[in-house]
Amino acid sequence: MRKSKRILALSLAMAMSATCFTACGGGEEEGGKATEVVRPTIAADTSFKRPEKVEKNADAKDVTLKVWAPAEEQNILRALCEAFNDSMASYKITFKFEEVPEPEAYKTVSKDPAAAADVFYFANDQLANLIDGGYIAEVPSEISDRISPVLDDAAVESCKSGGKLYSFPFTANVWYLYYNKSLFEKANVDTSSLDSIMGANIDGCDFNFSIPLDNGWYIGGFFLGENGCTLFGADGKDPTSCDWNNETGVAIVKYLKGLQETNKLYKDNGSADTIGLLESGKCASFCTGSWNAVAIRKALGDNYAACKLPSFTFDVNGTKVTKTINPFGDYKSIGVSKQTENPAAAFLLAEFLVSPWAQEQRLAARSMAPTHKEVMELALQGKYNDPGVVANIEQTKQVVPRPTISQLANYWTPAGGIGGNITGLTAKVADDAAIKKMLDKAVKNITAVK
Amino acid sequence: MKIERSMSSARRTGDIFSYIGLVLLSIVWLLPIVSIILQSFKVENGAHYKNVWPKKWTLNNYKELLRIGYSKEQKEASYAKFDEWFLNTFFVAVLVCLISTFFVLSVSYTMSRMRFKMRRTFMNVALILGMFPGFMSMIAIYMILKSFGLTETLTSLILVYSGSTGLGFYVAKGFFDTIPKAIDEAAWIDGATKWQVFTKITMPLSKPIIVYTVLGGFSSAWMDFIFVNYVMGARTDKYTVALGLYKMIDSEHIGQYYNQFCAGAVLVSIPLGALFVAMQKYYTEGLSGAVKG
Amino acid sequence: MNESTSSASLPSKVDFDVNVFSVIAQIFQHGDIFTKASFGIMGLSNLVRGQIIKGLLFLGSEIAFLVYLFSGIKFSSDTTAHEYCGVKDFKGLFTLGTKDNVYKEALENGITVQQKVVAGDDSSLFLLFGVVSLIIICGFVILWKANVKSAYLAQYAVERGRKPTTIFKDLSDLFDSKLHNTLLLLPLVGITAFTVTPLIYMILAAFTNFDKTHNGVAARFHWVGLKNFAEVLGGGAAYGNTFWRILGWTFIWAIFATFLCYLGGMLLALLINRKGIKYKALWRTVFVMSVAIPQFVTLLTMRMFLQRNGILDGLLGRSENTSLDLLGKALSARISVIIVNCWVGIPYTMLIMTGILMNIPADLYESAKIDGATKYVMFFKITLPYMIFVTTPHLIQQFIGNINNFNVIYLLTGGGPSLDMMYEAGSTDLLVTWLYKLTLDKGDYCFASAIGICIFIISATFSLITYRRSGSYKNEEEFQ
Repeated sequence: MRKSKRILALSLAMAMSATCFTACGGGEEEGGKATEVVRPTIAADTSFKRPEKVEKNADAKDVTLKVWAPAEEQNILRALCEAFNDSMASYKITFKFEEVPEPEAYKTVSKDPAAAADVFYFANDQLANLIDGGYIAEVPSEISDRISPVLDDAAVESCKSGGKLYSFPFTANVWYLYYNKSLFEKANVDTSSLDSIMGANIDGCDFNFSIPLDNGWYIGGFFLGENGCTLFGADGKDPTSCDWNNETGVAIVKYLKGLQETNKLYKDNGSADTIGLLESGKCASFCTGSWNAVAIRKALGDNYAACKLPSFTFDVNGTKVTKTINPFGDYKSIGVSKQTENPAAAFLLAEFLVSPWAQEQRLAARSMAPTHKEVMELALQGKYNDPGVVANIEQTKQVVPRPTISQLANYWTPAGGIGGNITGLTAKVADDAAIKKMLDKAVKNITAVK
Repeated sequence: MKIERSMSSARRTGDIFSYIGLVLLSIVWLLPIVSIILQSFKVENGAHYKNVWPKKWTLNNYKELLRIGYSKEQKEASYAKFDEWFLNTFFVAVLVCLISTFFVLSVSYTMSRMRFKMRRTFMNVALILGMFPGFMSMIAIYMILKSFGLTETLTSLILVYSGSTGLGFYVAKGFFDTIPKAIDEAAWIDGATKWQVFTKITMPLSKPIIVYTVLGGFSSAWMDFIFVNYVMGARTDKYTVALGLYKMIDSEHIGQYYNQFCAGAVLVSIPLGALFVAMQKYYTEGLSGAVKG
Repeated sequence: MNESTSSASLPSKVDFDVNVFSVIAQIFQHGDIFTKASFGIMGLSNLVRGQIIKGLLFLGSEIAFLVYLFSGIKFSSDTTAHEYCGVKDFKGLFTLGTKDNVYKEALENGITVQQKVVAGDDSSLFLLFGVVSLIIICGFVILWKANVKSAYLAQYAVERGRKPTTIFKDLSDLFDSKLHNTLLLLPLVGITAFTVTPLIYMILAAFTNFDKTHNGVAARFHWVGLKNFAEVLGGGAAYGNTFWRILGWTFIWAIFATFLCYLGGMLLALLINRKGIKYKALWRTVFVMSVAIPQFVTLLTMRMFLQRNGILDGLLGRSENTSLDLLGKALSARISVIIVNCWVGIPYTMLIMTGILMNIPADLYESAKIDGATKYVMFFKITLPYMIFVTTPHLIQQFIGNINNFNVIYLLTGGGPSLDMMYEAGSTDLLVTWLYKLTLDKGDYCFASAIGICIFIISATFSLITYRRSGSYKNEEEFQ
């Protein structure tokens, strides 16, 4: 019985593989990782050139620098670091690159500070934790004096704590609206109004609008700014204050519930599914940021377009109010570990990675919006052929500052829960009383001090 | 055992219903597995399109996964280093299997066969130690490894996976308990030492439980993803297969690596699944013999 | 085989079968001058009576221990360098470090940087080395006790006019009468290093404030006593309320998961075992697939199968906005994890049941048939009770295992939809997965340890109650 079973299994396996080989003969091969993508182009008349390669000094110091950056940055990072090494006469640098996604930077650094990278990429919402834990070093005054004037003011502000600069911002981590140009044009949609987007009748399209509403990062955009609710007080520094359960909060939840009930709102679940829907034309627009720019560009092709977030109109106690959607004005930046053995070299590298030439290269490779004032100016003039970058820069003028206190860590789960209940149309949003109760509980968890 | 073919119709209907039930259950059981195999041959991005049957077939996912035909820079910059992961895991699994089998069999034989003062105490302590959640002590183990300079190495994995396996002696002990003591006593009368009895008499009789222990030790290296995540941090070239595949479908990577995840899942399942099925007979014997005890 | 028995003409004055302390007292009482001296200078009695190698080993280990205790042994790797000194490390257990990092300002390449010159005290390392010192001291005490016993035995042998055991006899004994020592040595070292030490460390950490702001690098942590437990168990604070809710779900999950798998496995085993079914092995192999394939593959597969717009939705032809979204709603997520756990768990139980079914003694059935029993009676009165009796310890083990079943929950739902406003927890989170999130995502190790200890107390209480009661435990010796 055993022998016959083995023969049976073997022949099945062979049959299956045979089928595969014949079937794949007619299939289309997708080669390697470097698929052809329509990319932004670098304007010919920029003044940013790769720094000159210089001879190493006789007493050049041998330095090893470990750099942590996310997966998509790895390719461009190697090019940038090589350029840095070439331009440094006083250091002979060996680089060690490791892949650490920006959201995990704090986790990875805090686990073993002594083994942390010298230079690491992170999202600024981790800045407070990094400073409290003593993991990140303060930028030396000489560097901060020369870098602060040339970088965008809001960007620099978000990297500061107690008046001192701690990291180098390299892109605005905001989200805005990508949309399918031809679909919106055909339906005469006004992209500055969410109600126009949601009300439009678009052929062959199941969803007019997609947003990961069960993520605190996105749903905050509806509540904060001048919209009537605050998080941690007006200045974002009071851990016990959160008023999302006031009248306006309930009204906003009701409004979002109404949007979900039209069945034209898609709750994104990790980007990949929405991008698939964009590709097949079943979804017309998507709220996300520049990290998805390359994939969306590929999915939409010639219909690739982006703009800043629309405004929405909702009902508070009988009066109609129009407000804008205000994402957190957050930035991603590059920091230097406090435990590094070569602070000077590390800081110079970090400074180089936000220099105009480096930012331009990064824009070209990954559609990452710049923070350097000159590069931003060129982008707004359209010299880079990238609507996503333009939308990003415009959105940074319509943001709400992210609270810097460590209590923020308690915000994400409850806020995401609000969004999840809305998109799931659960009992918690059935009527005003239930909504108020849910918001009360959320506020309690957000302000819960350990 | 002669199968008595009863002619009663009640028996027949019962059999037919049983067969139908078995077929239905089998479909339910195999459906997810078959769907993953099919997905591994997809051309279109599985994260975007969730159809089960591929619209277009290709072997490319396997090629990309194993990085066949990649240049050195491409290899270094790509996240999916499946060939390295597979070898890492295999290497760790073999060593863990050897060490843990030795540990487990030693301890369980001792507990089963020998009587000494601390025996009951040891068994109770082992029971108690097993009730703490395993990863509670992860940071402590990490610091111990750090003080030996072993973090981010495969050696640390081997040590941690096999170090405490002595606590898992219960099943093997149950099996040894079923071997009659008379055999041992006869050997002692003939002048054999206990060590000789252990190696020359008991071991050959214990093939099922040895296979069970070996399989357990071997597969432990393929399954864990918590500890290796903690220890390896960002060294993707030292990941094991479990961790590498697990990270392939997190939000950062799923857009690009979904199909390759399916391919990787198939590649991992084939050797392990085949091994398990081939050893199934021994596994069952060992397990049920032990449970009886 | 008791150690002290050899054909004795003179009975030993020391009775070795009582507890440890009275044995030592007796040895001191009956020992001669050399044996008494061996209490202080290890190995003396052995040396005097001709056991040179043994005596030197004992003496050497005492010297090594004293060096460790007072003067310190340096040991460094590329990541940590430490001088292991028993007394200092033990004291460090109480202070948990006193010195801060020292930085020096330096001007390099035109910028002023803070160069770290002296690393301050890292509390987490102080705790670790303190625990290590405890373990080493315990180990030495065990060695000392062995020395005392051996000192007496050497004296005893001489008293009876025999030569004390030679080193060769000792070595060969290690493979015969003292085989348990040999076989247990390495496993015990492994267990001590990788389970006992870390566990003691974490238990102690539960009484400190080792969290993300007091991580030993920027700020040292110190002892806080029972404060963490009060917060975890207290109903009002952020942790407390969530703790009890998760505990409730953990129990419900464990009960359903265990019993459904048990029943399912039994039914499936019986079904395949029916007389009329052919190709039994083939059917078993089909079902065993979900066990043979590594769990992370099967569970991640199921996650992609069941998630929103997953493969299941594709099969059922549902479009995006009518997705079943089984894992996105609290109740359906909970039911899904239980069912998926059955999918991976039933074949395992089935294998065990099959093995047992095949081994039920045939004469039980024979005698029943002679007495005129029908098929149903035989099933309910012989098969079922036998199977239940034999697998009860397994059932209990599975229950306790399911309380701590990390993989299924974490891989399938990651803790589940977080719609219920619990503190850092979702609807399908067990205590263990919540613990994991707290440790790794938040770095609050002291709370994680406190919760871990609570989990332990729950599991231990449960096991003790049910296990002791079960017949198998009582009958363990008789079975042999």
